[in-house]
Amino acid sequence: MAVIELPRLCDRAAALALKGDLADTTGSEALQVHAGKVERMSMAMLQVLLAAHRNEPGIVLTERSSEFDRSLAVSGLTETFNTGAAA
Amino acid sequence: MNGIDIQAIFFDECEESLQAAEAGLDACKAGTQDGETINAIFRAVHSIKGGAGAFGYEALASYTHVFENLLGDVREGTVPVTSDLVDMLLLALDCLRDHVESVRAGTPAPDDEAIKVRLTEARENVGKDGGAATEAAAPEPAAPEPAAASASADTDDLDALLDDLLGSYPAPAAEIPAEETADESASAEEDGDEDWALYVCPQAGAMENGSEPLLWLRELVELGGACVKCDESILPQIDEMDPKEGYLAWTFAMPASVERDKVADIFDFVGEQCLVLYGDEALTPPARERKVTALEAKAPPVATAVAAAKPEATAAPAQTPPPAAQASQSIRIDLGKLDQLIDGVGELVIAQAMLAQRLSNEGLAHFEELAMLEGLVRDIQERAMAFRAQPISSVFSRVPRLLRELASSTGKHVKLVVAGETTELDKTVIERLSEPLTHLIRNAVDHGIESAEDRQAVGKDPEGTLTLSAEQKAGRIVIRIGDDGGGINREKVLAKAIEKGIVDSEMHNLSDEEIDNLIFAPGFSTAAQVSSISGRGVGMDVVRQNVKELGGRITIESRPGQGTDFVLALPLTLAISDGMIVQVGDQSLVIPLTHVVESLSPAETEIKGLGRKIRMLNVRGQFLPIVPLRQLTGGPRAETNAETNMENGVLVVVETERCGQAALLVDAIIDQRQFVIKSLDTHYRSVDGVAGATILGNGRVALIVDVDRLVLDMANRPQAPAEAA
Repeated sequence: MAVIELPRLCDRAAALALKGDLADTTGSEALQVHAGKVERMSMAMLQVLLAAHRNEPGIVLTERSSEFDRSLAVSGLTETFNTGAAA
Repeated sequence: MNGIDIQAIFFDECEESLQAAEAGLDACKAGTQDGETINAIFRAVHSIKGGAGAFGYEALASYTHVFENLLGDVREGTVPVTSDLVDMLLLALDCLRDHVESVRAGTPAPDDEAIKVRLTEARENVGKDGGAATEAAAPEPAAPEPAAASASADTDDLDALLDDLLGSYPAPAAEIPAEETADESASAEEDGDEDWALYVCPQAGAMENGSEPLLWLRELVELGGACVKCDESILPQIDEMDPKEGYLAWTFAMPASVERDKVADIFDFVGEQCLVLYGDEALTPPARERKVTALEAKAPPVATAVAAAKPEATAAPAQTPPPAAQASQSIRIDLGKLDQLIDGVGELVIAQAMLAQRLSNEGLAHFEELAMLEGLVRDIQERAMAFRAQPISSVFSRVPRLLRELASSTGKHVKLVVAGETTELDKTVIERLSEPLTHLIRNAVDHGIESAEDRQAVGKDPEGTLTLSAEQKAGRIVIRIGDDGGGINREKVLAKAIEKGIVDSEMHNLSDEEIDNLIFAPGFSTAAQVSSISGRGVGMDVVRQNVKELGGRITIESRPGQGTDFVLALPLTLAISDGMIVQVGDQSLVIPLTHVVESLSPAETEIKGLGRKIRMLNVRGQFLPIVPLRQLTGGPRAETNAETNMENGVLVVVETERCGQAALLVDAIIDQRQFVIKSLDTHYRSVDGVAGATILGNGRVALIVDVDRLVLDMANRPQAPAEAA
């Protein structure tokens, strides 16, 4: 299972880089995304994660920092990501 | 751009909005009451309200809110457009202008209670009548105003930065009387203590320049809000998406205890890059549409399907900026930067002239490239000067209000006829023209136009007519302020002038023109009673001085019983002018062409002595004093060749404001061309008889003659030319 660790600063630049990585990812298993070090989130990063989450094979958030969780909460997406990888 | 800059833009746009609203109301008064006209008035007031709220100008925001409420009803067709309503809206607009001025000047807000009551009553009275009259006279209901589509085409505009976002808000609750908020679309105010909805849809630009929509959401949560929906319906596949675009939108439930201005503060200065909707509007957001990628090109667009299912949504605000906003045709430039450019162009003109002079000295003046350069420089110069040009309508548009005020104070109702309001002239001239123009108009109504009874007695329309016109003529702007009153009473003027010692009692041979010009004499007034409008006896002198300081001239054309025209001839610009370059001894001087009537090579018999020092030139039977320009150059006291033998020199006949015509004696006329005016005050100090300086093609500085002052000094008193014996 491929693993990607999100950077501390998940800004637009990081989102662009992650989008490239995710688009290039192949395989049948959901990609693990570690978000334990995230200190700052952005809407751009959220969109990339959401798009990846909805697409096959999807992603699984493993570690999540409080800041990351808070960003999911304020944007109403906690439940979405709690459902695990998209079916 | 700092806060002061943005405020300056706000005031500029206020002025534009006021003009737009006044133009719209004038059109309504003239019978054009279509939806677009009403919409334009509404948008103008709405725009001011948005900016006022953003800057915390509470009185202005509160007043515009009341004003806007009525305009909103007019726009919706629930309040009919009548002549009385338009008159009241014009008064309300006058008050709005006072509000803006008070904010700009930092003075207390005007008393707007009475007009606010009238604005409110205008809405309430329609409700009492059941709106029966509304249907007959109501304008065609306008299409709902798209929030984004109402954005100014100019993305640099404060409007685009503030208004279209802020305009979607109600004014801060603290500023809005409770009974006036009932019509707001927001459910919170309608429902009292219920939660209310908020819709937030950031665009790509909302994620630029350090902006982060998630932080706004966080602030909403901190205010007690909760996200009830994240709309991800237009989020594309991962390989088709651009993370810089905005694909998500949120609906929040906000507690009733949270005032909307608190929420509005969060989105302050976000502009059109984030669609924010409140209350009911938030519950029915517009259909969203994203760019169709190449892979999706064949698929039916989701937004189209949504729009088809919800027809009303197609008329709702689009989230993407309107085409006009994307293809902005204008930008705002700091005036200081523009002036720097114009200064640079002025230097270019001088440098080109110097190059031409040098090449001419070398016998190389006829190169084709030189002529091309000269043409290009002139072209650049004209285009640069055009940057500062503004239509005179910005001055003329203030006149209707002035006439309304005068009507209420004098009882004289005057019809305004305007022509040539698109004529353009320099911004500085425009700004400094306002005062003399205002005085001339007050004077025309107060003194020129008779009372309705007097007019009827002589068979005139009881309503007087004031005509304002502007046109470009011979490189100058000619502004005419005409009335159809009784004309100047010359007997009365002459008697008053004699009484005040302005003219000698023995002087009975003044021409009509000379008598008319006596009203410009300092301290002159024929007003039997000094009024607050005019007649203080200082105004016309000041008017002439103001016009003169603009490099212009004012003349009078009066017809007994038919009216009086004041004609102002003004330069297009204050920076560059046309002049006659003359030689005096070893000096070159410039005589502004506006003063020059003709030039003569006098015969010996045409020159007569008057006493020991003064010599007069006989020009077709009229004697003009001869003023040797040598006295300006500070040269040797000995007379020049031209002074010794005047037939060897040239006499330039000039028109002056106070002393009639005079003949300036010079050695020779060198050239006639445009010159760049340099202030002597700035670079040296003020010198009597010198209006400024310029740099000639040979690199030498030439003084610009202050013709009026020079001739006045020489004459030392106003004098009428004597008829030849």
